[in-house]
Amino acid sequence: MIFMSDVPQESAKRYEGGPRFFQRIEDLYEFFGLKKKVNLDTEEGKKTLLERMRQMNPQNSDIERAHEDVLRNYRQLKAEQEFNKNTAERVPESTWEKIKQTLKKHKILLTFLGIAAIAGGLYWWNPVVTIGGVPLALRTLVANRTVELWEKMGGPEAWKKLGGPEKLEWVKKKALEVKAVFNEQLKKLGIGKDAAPAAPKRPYDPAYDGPQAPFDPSIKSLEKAASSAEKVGGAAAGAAVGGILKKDEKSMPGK
Amino acid sequence: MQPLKLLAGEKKSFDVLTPGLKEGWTVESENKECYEQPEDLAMRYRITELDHPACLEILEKIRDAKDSKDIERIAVSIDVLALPSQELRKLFFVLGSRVLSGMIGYLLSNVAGDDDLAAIVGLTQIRHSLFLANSAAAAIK
Repeated sequence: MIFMSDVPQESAKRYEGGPRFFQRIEDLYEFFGLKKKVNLDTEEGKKTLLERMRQMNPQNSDIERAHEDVLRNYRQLKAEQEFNKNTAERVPESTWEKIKQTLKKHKILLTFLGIAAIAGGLYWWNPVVTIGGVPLALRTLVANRTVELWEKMGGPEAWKKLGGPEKLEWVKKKALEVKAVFNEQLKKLGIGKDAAPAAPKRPYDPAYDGPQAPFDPSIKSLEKAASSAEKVGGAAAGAAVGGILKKDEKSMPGK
Repeated sequence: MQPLKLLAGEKKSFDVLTPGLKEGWTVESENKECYEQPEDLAMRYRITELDHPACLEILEKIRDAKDSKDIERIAVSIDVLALPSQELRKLFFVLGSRVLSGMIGYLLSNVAGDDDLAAIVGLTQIRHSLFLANSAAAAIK
């Protein structure tokens, strides 16, 4: 049983501000006032965390989702620990030096980082944008949630205040710019060959940059784009469809 | 000496190298494939702090890039050697195993000598470490 008095008041107060992410497992435990014996690897530990989160933020109607985020955060911290341990055992310092020299010689680290920076605009910019209290991933906006969002926001008037169709057009335009650069890089690196054209003038497909039908700016088309991109380049490519460059954020209508 | 831990497609790329290049290297099949979910990578971006000055400089320049030519120019101008291995390790963790596989595939198609192969051995071991870490994280889901 967890009592509200067990929850560090300072933590509860900080938690009101919205989702938090932790860089160390110790910080996560401290923030939620979890004792060391609580094992988040177990179902019991996960339930304890959920109860604690409910107590800390009783107003949050989507606490299960926040709980999932915290557990994902925890899992990735564990993954990082495991990764560091394994690389320390398997990769000596002399090999790291060889890797750096080879990456420099072939100029590929930066190219891949460039792809990640562009495709991952989603990550480096702001993965969860809150508009009118509705948490909204931009990628999701582009891919398939626009209508749902529009409804949640209260229809055309609310949508218009937020930048409305102009914002959506802006997002689409940026997504396509990002996608074009991303595709070019993938092509140069010999990745994404599945996107090779079967025939010219096929229906619009942002995963393919050859001759094709004009861009159809419908939600359905964007859904298809996200799906093709994921097939071609995995997570990064999928993100590219919804990714927006950080530097362009200020020009977003309704911002 | 550690082996190259290669996926099936990569093994084909290795097999077509000249006998001189292949001599002395051993190959093992990578059979621990376990890739990150997009949400996992998004979380890594959030929780990983890339704070070394060399790394920050790279990220800043990349963010300013307007097109792929810009990226190529940046690639030439930045000294990867200035990155400490600890920082590079963080980058690989954040980029994930698919991007790392992309690097390995690219390098295998452009091997110029033993130094490149030594680096590929290292990269395949790093990827293997990522697969093991992903697998461990998936087990506590």
